[in-house]
Amino acid sequence: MALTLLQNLALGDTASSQTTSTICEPTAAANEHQLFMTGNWFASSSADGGAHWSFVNPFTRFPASAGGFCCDQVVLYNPRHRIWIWLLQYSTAANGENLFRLAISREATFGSWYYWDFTPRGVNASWTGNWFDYPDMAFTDANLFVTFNMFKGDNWQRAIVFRFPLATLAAGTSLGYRQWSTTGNGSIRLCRGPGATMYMGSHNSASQVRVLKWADANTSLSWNDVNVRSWLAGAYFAPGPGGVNWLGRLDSRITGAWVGAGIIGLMWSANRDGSHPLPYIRVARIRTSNITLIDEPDIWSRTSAWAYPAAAANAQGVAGFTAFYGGGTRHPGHVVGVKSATGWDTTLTSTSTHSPPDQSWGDYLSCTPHNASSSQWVASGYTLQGGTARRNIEPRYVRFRA
Amino acid sequence: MATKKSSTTTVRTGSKSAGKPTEDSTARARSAATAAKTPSAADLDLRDRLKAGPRRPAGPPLVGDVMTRSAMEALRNEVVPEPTEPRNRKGRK
Repeated sequence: MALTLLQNLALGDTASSQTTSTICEPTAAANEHQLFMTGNWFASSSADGGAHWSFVNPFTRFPASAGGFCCDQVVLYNPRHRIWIWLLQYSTAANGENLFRLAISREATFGSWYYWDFTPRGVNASWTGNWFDYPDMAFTDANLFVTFNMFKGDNWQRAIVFRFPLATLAAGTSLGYRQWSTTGNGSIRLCRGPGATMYMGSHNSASQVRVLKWADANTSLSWNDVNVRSWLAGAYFAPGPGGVNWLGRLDSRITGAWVGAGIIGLMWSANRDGSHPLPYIRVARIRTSNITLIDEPDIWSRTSAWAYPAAAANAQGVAGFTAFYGGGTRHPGHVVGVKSATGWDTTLTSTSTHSPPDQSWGDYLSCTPHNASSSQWVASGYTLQGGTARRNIEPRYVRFRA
Repeated sequence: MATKKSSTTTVRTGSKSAGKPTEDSTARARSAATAAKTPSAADLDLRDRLKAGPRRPAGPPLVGDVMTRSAMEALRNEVVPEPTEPRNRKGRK
């Protein structure tokens, strides 16, 4: 199964208005002609398939709320309801609380948004001084799912899962939703792929994952635990040219998750160990039928580190992913890949000319099926081009197929 | 690889209402733009530096996540798949 890059577009200064960060956290989505990309601290849209991009200022596009727009964003396009979904995380106000904004734009009026705000105390009156961080977003046939970690100060409190009916989001009427939270697991990651059940993943330990399952038809949620091969986290280290450790911020949370063709896939960054000389991507594939382990086709290299995977299944259930690859003789590079019969077919889209000065990178990427062409994926990435300043960050929109 | 399925735990979820959305017409966005401010380039430079460094722990401590010599040794003889090296290929710009 050969991988083909169909679009490999760098977003220039006009698209990002130079409001980029070395911790860029880009996400991207597309329909046939409309494209939208977000990152720290920009958004950008195209109405002509990526030929031209327009900067959208996330600080000023919406009214100021809480402590003002902060950072994390996620964008998706839902083809069934023909809506764009844009999630924005706001900074904490003086009371230590923030909010997230869920904005919707219909395909026919792309760029005109309506939105709902969600505060910690709006969800639970006892969650005073709490704030949302690290969003994930994905949908099933009928619902949009959003996950967050919640903190009080710098202390983690819980992970929360929201479920919003897509039909109501599209209609723009009064929004009833469901939610569930847990103190047992953090950083719950949502599986991207077709179907009427949302699967989610989180670590229980360094040798066991929890697979959570929430069907569109159910108001209850369930989980099973799956043992996986042991791995290590700790302080990640993958020095590149000049000895720069671009993985100084990396941790082990699950960042990539897909479901398709009866398979749940979970991906995370693991540290070096006796079998892997550099940090690498752990992969666990699990059957949806009985939630048991199929195999663990990890992605690793003897010469460079792999990190920050994001993944999605296309309409045929094939897994595609996006990640970074660097260290050794390489500055951080952006890679997309697809699962093949024997492993992974991967291609560099761009390699940085420099490594980050503050030894930081990440914290996440996005990969989503391309709705107009069901066998394709859309992925976000970024590299440093021409210098080490945050303005030298070059976000990247990539469309690819197997 | 044959593995035994673990027991299933089921929990209830809660319901809430978020009400109607806020309409964001162009006129409203223009007035909002005057209320919300874009940080200066220097402010963003500072944000970039402040964001660097290790992330805050985001969940319960992971059992077994200790990089000891014995842990490294235990993983030394794992059967692992072949390494993956990406191809250096460019698509259409």
